[in-house]
Amino acid sequence: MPEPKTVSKNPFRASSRKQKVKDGLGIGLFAIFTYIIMACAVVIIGKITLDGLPVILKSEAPFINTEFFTKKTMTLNQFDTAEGEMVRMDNDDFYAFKEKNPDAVINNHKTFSYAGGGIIGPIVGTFMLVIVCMTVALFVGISAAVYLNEYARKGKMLNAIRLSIMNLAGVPSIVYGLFGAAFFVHSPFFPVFTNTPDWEKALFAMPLWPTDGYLSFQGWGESLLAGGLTLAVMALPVIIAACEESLKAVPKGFREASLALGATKWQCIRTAVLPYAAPGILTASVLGITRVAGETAPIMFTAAVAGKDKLPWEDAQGTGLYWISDMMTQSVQALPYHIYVVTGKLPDDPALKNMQYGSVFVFLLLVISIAMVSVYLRARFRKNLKW
Amino acid sequence: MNDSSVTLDSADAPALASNEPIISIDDLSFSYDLGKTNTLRNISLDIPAGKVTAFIGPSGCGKSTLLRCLNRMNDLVDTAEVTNGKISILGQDINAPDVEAIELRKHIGMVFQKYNPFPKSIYENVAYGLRVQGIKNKSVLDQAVEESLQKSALWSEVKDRLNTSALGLSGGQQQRLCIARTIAVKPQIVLMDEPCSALDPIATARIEELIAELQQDFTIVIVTHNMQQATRVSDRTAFFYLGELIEYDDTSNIFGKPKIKQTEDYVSGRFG
Amino acid sequence: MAKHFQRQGKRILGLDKQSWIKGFFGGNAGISIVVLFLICFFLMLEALRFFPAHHEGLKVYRQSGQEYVGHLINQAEGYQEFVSFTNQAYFAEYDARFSKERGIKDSWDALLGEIEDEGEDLAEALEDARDEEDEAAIAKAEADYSAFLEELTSEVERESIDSFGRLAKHDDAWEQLLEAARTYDPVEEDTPEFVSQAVKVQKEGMSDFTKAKDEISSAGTSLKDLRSKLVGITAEIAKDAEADKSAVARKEALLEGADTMEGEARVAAIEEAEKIVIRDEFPYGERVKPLEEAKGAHQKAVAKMSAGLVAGIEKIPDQLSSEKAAELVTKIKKGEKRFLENVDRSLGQASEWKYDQEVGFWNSVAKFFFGRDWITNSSWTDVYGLQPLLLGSVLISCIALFFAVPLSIGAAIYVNRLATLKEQNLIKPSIEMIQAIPSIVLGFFGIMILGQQLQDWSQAAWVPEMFRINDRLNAFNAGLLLALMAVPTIFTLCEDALNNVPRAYSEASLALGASKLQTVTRVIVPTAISGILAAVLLGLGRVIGETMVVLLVAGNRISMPDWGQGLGIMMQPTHTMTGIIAQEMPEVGEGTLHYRALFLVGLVLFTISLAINITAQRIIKRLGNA
Repeated sequence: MPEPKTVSKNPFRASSRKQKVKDGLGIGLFAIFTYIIMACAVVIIGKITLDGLPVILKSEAPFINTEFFTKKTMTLNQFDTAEGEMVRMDNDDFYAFKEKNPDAVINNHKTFSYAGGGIIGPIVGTFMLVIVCMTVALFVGISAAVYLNEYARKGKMLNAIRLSIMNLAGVPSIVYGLFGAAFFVHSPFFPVFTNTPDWEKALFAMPLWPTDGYLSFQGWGESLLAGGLTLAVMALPVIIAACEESLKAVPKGFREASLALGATKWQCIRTAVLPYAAPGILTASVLGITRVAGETAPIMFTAAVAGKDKLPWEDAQGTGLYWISDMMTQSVQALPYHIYVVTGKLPDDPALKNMQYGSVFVFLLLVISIAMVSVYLRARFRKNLKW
Repeated sequence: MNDSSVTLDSADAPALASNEPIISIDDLSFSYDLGKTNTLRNISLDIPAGKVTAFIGPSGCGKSTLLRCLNRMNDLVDTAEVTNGKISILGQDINAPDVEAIELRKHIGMVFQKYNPFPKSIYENVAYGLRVQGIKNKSVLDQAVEESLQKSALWSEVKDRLNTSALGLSGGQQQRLCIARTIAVKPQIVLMDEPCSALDPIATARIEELIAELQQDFTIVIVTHNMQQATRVSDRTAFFYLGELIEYDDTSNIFGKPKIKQTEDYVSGRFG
Repeated sequence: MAKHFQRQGKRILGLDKQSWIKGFFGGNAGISIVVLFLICFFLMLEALRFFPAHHEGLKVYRQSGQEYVGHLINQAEGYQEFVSFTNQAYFAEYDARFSKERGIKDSWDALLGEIEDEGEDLAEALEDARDEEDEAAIAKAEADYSAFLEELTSEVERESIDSFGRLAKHDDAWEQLLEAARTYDPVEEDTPEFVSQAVKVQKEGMSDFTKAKDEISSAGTSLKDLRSKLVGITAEIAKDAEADKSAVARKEALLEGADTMEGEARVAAIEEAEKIVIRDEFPYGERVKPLEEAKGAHQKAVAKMSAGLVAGIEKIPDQLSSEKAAELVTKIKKGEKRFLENVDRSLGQASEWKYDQEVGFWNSVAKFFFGRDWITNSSWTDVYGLQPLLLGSVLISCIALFFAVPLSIGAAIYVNRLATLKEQNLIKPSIEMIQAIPSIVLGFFGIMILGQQLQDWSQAAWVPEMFRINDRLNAFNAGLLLALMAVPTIFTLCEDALNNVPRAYSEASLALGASKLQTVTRVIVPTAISGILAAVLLGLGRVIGETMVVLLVAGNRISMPDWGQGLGIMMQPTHTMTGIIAQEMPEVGEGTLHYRALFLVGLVLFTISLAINITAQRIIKRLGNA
């Protein structure tokens, strides 16, 4: 061995370069994988922001394109003026323009459905769907979590419930959509208040004296209620799991102390458990919103329509209960479905670009901010978990 | 590159002059939080080769921390750092930049408080240290496994089921397996961090016997809570209190005629 | 005394308040079971009714002879493809060989059209003048007309050569053409010599190919005729059979209606009702006789077609000057043998057709699960075969997992074991952000940006031929996006699994002198492997059930993957189970066969995802405790 031995007084010098190189390469590879994922996210979000931001901004005060948020979705007109300049305007502006200038030369007039105006309809629809969904899902989800964590004893029943919840979490969203279509939309088990029951579909209709209306069991059709409940069913497993987590985090000692002082089970839950689980439950609800707000497939056949000129409350007929019932059984526009319509269903054209990127950007912004809130809340909640 | 170039035997370690300590700690201070508070303060002590040295002291006195400094396991904590002094092992400052922690750990084995065999077969557990050094030769591995298990007095109990999971052994057996795993790579020093605390008295006795036998081949540093154990197994004892070394002497002196009051109070059970 | 420790408070229906509260919570928990049950129930309710209806449809298909005609249609349509390829090749060759001659002819036709359009009045005046044989008028009309021609030609020459296309390249001919136009006589309407010459040259020059083309296209005519005749007959039979089923009801309805009428109308209605024949069984045997009789003609027509095809292909000239034509001809020759075999087979099947042969119930099941076509809204008959959709879903899932699995496991290992705290605090929330990106947004990205980008990249020189992308929307594009969707799922679960590996293991490994990487690969990953496996499975579940991305991006072409392309099948547009439901569900009527077929696809999807879920849970349970 020609290598001089004197170099190595240090018995702990790195002996094999090979292993070190291997280590470096391996760790580097894992790091690269990680950052590839991050880069993908950055590219997607960045690209959409870059193209979407200009749609909702404008150069003069208030710098926000308020029309895009306040106008309803309508047809976009594209034409060339006499000077050969191409102009695009939505139906409202177009008819106003024509009224003002009846002699205006309009060449190459083209129209694009759903590509003009703003997105107030889809935004309102999405919000209402989420509200319906979360009302139901939170009510059922929190109660279920309380039962599972506070009341249930180990046994077959509990196993069956847990198994169902786990399996529900894995069901594809489109299957929820099919279920919603068959159950909430088409099956006649769900009642509406109406003056004009659909006798063909109705199982039966109960006259509601003294009004001349009926409680008609005729199914909800494609509606806010059907869509919201379909989404609620989908959000249930997430909410139950998250609520349970927060209930579990409440120390056993609280319950024991409360019970030892003579509280009933319900008093114990009400005073010694739920208040301390509340922040976690809030996190759970926000988490649930992120799960449902972004979904398209479950509302495609249960609630969403491509175009509607009126907001649900503007379109509702009747008074009181009838008005509410009518509003809740309206079909609505929804942001994700609107995006699907303007990108997937219409033939592509540069004229659609504004509507496409604008809606996608607003939607992404909405969903990501809710997700961020949930991440933040959870982080805070976990940090504060030291009782 | 052949397998034998990797240290299987301790031949390439520099020979120590007799009486020269194998581990020499000089004015060591150590912090877990980037120097804000020192967990260990100004510790100096020399550990002789071929002997069993025990670290004793109440919980939180820093004895385990010091042990983990010796094979640089504290590197795993991002904010841990040696703030003062140095540790020399075999004459080498182990925190010097050209020291590779991995190489260091090949020379200094460690047995943990809670036995922690891998969820692998008994054979694979013992062979693990050699495999990560790149040894693939089956007969070398077989031999090393048998030898280590013999030494740790486990061979007769497990030789028929080397390929069954190590997690099927009893607690005491698992801890001896961990010792076998440690000595399979032929370290010069074996660090033991309360190796018996999770075991029943019978299993403890067997481990203590084993320590006595291993003393012939290895320098052993053992952290223990149990003062009887220290008297039974160790030649030298160091007593720590609140991050400082209070007294360090032959075991018989520490327990027989301690020089310092605190030591006396502790060994006689008057505080803690 | 004993009363002290007894329950207090009111009881309702024998239960006290606490029990009621417990029952309320329990009931809500039970909803999850009820919902799962309802999902199963409603999916099955619609889906399983598919089979009887489908069976009935298949029976009618056979009995009415549509099955027989189906074979014939396939043969004829297969042949039509050859005819159209031959025609395309012919015209490509034609263009290549006689671009000048064709240019002359086309340009002349165009020019002539212009002249006749613009100079109609003048031409009439000239004709009138000639009829009246008035010398002066003739001279004037002729002068006018030639002035018009002069003006027109010079205008054409000046401005719009481009609109006369092909000739611009051949200036001499162009000049000649304009000259001829200047001296054109609208009454005689004679074609200039050089134009007719060009036409003649073309005709003669293409004669070799023309013969081949004519041979091929004429060979198929008798089959085509037969087809249209038999299609009409069978459609009639099917319609009548359908009417027969409702005969009783219709008759009753008519008679009932007649009761409410008076006088002549009543008599007419009753007469009409009497006309409705009520039979126990529809006389298929009698009605399909023409088909039985046509079998001979069918055989003959097919024989003629096959012979014609072989002979025609023989006659196609070997030397072709057009590359495109050569390509097409190679394609034709390649397909020839397979087509002839297919025709033989289908002819055999057709000849075995008997209207009264039993259609087994399992036939309808097998046709769905193993059918290789999914054809809806067709003019002939709808076919529901799961295979192309199932394979599409599987293909896309494979692509997605191929990318997602290494990326997310690698990232999980990195974040959990190797990264610094700072990195962890950056990466984990970012990956949760990815989870929050809605699938429709990813689909949007795929359709608007990624598709074009991938197609452009795939044109690079170093990319192997089979990976060239022809369609912007394809399985690969969708697979990549789905990979990004699967990453957060796999990553999170993987990280959990790695987190559950006791710290003691890694300490022991490191204390033995193993490096970080060795510790990870030899101890931590093997220990966490069950969790990682389950994570991958759940990732698969997420990918296979994803809808919007595949609906927008996968290309939605329903066809069996062409295995001959090797890995190139990744670059093909495809359709999926989720995609078909989303696409067709809004368009079908409730309760139709098509509606039920879609529910059946949904049921298959549901079953697959349940199976995946349960397997994942089992893996965690079984291996997790080892």
